Amino acid sequence: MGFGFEHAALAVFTTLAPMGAASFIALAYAFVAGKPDAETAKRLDRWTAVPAIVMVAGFVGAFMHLANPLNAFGVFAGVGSSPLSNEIVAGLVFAVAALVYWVLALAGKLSGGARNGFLVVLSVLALVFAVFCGLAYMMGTIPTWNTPLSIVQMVGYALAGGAVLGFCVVGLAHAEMPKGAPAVALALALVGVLVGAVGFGAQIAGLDAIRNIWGSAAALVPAIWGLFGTFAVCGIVAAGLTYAAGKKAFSPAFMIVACVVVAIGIFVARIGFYGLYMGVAL
Amino acid sequence: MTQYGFYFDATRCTGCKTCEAACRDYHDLPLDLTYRHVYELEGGTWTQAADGTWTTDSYTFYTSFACSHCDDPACTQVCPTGAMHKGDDGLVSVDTHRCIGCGYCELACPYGNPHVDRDKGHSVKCDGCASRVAAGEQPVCVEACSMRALEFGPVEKLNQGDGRAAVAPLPDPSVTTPNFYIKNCAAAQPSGSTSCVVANEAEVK
Repeated sequence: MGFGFEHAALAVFTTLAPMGAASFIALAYAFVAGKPDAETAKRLDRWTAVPAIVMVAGFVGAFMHLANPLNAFGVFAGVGSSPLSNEIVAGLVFAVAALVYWVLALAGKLSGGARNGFLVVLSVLALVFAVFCGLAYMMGTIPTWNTPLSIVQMVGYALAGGAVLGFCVVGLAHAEMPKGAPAVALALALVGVLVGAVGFGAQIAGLDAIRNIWGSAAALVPAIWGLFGTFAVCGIVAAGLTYAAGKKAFSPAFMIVACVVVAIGIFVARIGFYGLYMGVAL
Repeated sequence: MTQYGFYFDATRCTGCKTCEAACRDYHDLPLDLTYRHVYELEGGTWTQAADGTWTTDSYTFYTSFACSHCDDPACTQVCPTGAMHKGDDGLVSVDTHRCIGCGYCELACPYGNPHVDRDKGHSVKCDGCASRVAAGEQPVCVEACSMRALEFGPVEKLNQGDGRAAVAPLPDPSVTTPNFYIKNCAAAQPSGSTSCVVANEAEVK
């Protein structure tokens, strides 16, 4: 009983890695709708280092979780059968594609059409990665996690965190956006918060029906609704900050605060999720 | 392929936990870890009749179990490196050179067996005392049981009692098809029963 802090390293991973990946959805919008000139595109490309660093920090969290990271290359042996292998491969496929995009973009080798196409593909791969992050927890012997809601919440967190982080990059690069950009940023972030909240909330609401020899799953994390509320409030505040910042050319100061707030909200929700671990028997 | 398994006669077990102690001693495990667990389960009520006398249907029973070396192990299914594997003898063990210590086996196993030892850098678990078995001996827990409540061997030669373990606190055998057979005692409660409680929670959890 308690929280899920024993899985804090995994919570760091599932907070930051999908957030960094899904920020490419906002970047895709910035390039497709913003039509930046060459100089602005260069600045956007340079600041793309931020989501890359966030994603790498997430993977560092995953490595910290391992008792023997030196054997980590062995995870490819389980592709197709182990949900963890599938998750890591989905993340690596995204990371490699993003790296290729970034290198080509920095080298000035991407034309407008190719860049936009590449960004759309990266956006899809980011969502696929989020789906696999959720799938990694669907195991028949863990009834509290073995629900499609594990996937739904991961997609929501990726959308919410990614939207805020992506528009933070826009602000840091001082990229001019269309008039409707703040509303688009707000909508993306709020959809993410809503999807995440529905996934996490519905999972919590179903806990009463699950029990094993130790008791009811509903008693696993007494403060679970508080953690849910923290995520919802952080998500809404971050979305609001993003909208307000959008009115001021996505002011970097506002956006950095929004990024921290949404990351805290997602991390808290993930800690709650790990606290809901309950085996089918013991 | 020979499939080895365990048999537990719950009508003989007195809950002395010598099997646990022998396991911990033989494998040089810390006090908070053992590959065999003995759960004390109890339940029932006291009822007062109109004449003031009391009757009870209270009960206690013990379930001693280690890795069930399942036909369909949850731990091997989720292992990302294949380190957790079934050998030719059907025993599930860890290839320590391949294990990354991710803990998925520990999370997935419904028998609470694998455990990530961060100091060693890999998962550890009951391997049926494979080296002893290879030398023609019995697993140390079986040998230590003073009531002869435990047996180990190829499942086709093993006493099968009431069939694959389907008793609290263990999962229904359909989940992983354990090679763990039990002769139930009269007080035994079925898998999934919540009418009994674990009396030695502090010891086993």
